[in-house]
Amino acid sequence: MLYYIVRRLLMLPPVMFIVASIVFGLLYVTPGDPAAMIAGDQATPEEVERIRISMGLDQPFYIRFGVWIWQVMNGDLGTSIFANQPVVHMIGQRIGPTFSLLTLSLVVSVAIAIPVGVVAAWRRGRAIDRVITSLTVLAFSLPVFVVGYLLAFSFSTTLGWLPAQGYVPLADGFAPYISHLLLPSLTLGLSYAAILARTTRASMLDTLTQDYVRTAVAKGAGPRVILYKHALRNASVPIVTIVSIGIATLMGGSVITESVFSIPGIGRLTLDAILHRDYPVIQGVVLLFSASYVLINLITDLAYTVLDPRIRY
Amino acid sequence: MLGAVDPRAVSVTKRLRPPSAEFWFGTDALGRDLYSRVVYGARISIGVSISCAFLSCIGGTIIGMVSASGKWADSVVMRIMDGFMSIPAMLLAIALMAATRGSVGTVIVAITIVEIPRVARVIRGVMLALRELPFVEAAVAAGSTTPKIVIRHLLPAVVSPLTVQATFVASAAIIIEASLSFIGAGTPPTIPSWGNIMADGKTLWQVKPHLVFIPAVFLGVTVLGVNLLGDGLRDALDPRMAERP
Amino acid sequence: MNPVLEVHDLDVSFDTSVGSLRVVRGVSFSVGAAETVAIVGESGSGKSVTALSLMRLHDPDKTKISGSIKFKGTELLTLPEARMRTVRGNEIGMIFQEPMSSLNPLMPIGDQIAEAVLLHHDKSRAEARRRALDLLVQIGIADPQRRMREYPHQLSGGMRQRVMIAMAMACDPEILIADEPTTALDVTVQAQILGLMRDLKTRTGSSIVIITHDLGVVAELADRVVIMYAGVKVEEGTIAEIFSQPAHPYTVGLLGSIPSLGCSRSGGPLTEIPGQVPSPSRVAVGCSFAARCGLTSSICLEIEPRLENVSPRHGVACHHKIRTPVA
Repeated sequence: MLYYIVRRLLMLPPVMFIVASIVFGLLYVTPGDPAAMIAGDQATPEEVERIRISMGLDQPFYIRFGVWIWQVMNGDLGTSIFANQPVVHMIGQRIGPTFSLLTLSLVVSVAIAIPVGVVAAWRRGRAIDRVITSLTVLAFSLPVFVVGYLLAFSFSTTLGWLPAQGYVPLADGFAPYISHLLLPSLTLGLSYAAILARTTRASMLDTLTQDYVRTAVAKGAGPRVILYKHALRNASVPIVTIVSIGIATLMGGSVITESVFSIPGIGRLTLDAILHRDYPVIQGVVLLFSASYVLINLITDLAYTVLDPRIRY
Repeated sequence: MLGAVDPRAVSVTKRLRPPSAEFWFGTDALGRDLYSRVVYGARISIGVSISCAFLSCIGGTIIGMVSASGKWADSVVMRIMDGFMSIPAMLLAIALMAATRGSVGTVIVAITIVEIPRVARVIRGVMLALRELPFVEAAVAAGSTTPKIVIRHLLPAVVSPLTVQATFVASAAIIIEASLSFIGAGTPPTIPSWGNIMADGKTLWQVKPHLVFIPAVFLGVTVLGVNLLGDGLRDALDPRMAERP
Repeated sequence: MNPVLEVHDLDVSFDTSVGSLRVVRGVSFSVGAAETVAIVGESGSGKSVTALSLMRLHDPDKTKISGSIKFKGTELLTLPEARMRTVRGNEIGMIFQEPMSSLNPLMPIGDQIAEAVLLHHDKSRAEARRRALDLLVQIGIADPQRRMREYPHQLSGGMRQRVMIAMAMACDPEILIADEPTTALDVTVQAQILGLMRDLKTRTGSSIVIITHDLGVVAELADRVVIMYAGVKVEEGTIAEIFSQPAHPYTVGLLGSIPSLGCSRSGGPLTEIPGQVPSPSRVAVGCSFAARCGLTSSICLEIEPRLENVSPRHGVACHHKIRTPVA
């Protein structure tokens, strides 16, 4: 077990190195001169040249890459071209809303998806299963922002129940914090919940045919105990896998959700960076999300041993 | 085509018209005919979708086959693929788009790069499983050369999983294109893709929600159709194939 | 004395893609207090289906059960599901064939036994765990404190089946249904499990319905025997009657096919009944055993024989009952 953990931890730096190389390399394999792009259409050649030197673009590739990697390893993600601030600092200022949004979305989607998937599996082939299965296909056929507008239109514009814009920090009170986050979290979580519900259903269908479920029935257990205590526990490994993989979907969707609901998080930072071609910021954001994602997957892998005592690494 | 007029024709006097006999879906903030834009947008969005599906399948197959061909190649290629898949798809697409000047071509390339590792992984899995099968071993024993084995025996076997993957890429591509355009990192704003039409409508969506919802319905129905096609193909071709995360 | 369990004219059919399959046809039998009844037959005879029907464990969407199953006078087939749950595990316990897959792999065995107690008795978790520990001692598991916390994959096959038995006995049921409890086990372990069941039977006074294809198990445990073939009861009698005076050619065949190790009853070579149990999808006219029977005559192919008593408790469904006892 310890050996496995150590081995997985040792695999972390190479994976992160590859991710970093991709993030760094993209700027250079893609056509076009980043300096010219940053300078804009009206820039004089001298201005372009100045930007090129200020970005260190006059140096050979391997030196730039080496310097950059060294900085990243020391927690320096570079300086924003547009805002002229350290990227780490800019991300630090914006991480709160995004973290809140991601966490609540995860909670909301798991809270919706698991019971829905369990019920669909339990009532397989019945009307409720058909309805759920159809709705899940529909839910992940819509882009996040369309879901966002639909929800905002229904619950904010029409019904007026919840605010559709902005973010209130937790320090300003729990009720406004949650009410501002609820629609964005539902938006972000919905298509992900659809995928999770499908996985839950499939995995539950598999476990419900197992002999130990029959034993539980023969013991006199009711549907709740059978479904949640016996079947769901046994169906949990594939479900947890999808939860951890799906976090990437949530991270990507958060950029768009923040745009729809005007949340001042990392997504907004990314959008501004795209607008200004502020590549160091984009690199920093992508690297941060990827590193978190890799770490979450590692933790998930280790969590399997807790979920299933038969798994021994 | 289909009763559409020039989707780019601006008319200052006919701004924000409600749906009518003249403008079936009304007009947008610049007086452009929404119906014509949606019809024209279908060509862009579906074109991007099909191109991405086609290119990622070719790229994914090549990479998957290279990966499956040898132990050394496998570990190198798969590590790189793992690296790509460690970057959330949407963010990778954003990063790629931010590094280039937006055009329909770069959108297609960006989405293709995002999707290739997923296809490559499936193809590699199929190839590795196939290599163990008796008919392939028999072909090796009979002295067939590697390219011959690949073309005669292996390629046909990847066709069905590849078709299923193609539908997944096609539906994902429509959504990614729309999302990229929506946040201003996709198709140039002058080209009315579905994403751009919705992006144009977003400032007015609370007063004129149909500017967003009409293209959204078209997009949703298209993606739904492609997804259902993919599910159906998967069930028909290989019911054991895992759900795509 | 009133029987604890009375099964009358039980019919079970499954809905399949090829149509409805009638797997059990008009089976009746009863089980008295503290009595052990064995239901014997080859695979496909409908004996396991019958056992599962007693607890209503079939998927209700795909199964049609008719007839009557009375437990202490209460009709189980029409009992509401919620009431049925108070019978399952509480008044009727059940053991299955595969002790490996029948235990929840993710739950410590102590919790699985305690759960059976908690589902039916208003007891605290600690009390239920004490009862579980007590049961583990009774079924002869060494170091029960430690075993309580272990998972099924850490136990041997025999031990798992002991745990299944402990679980089934957790609420002191009136009846224990054992569906091929020893089939998946090694021969030496089989003997231990049978010994344990006999031991429990004398100690608790439960009735037992044991489903088996192994006449050795029957001889070991049963008071009475019901022989099933192709979904029909073909012979029924006390253990002495069945073993010494089998009247149905199928029973004679089955007795001929038990390998006897140093047993005085028969020293002859192992005989096998040629052919196999007909598929329930083929609706046959006449006696369903006719195709494999050595005594088949024209009447066997036309009329299905009805069960007739040859002695007060010995019934046979055959046109050509064998009246001479086998040597």
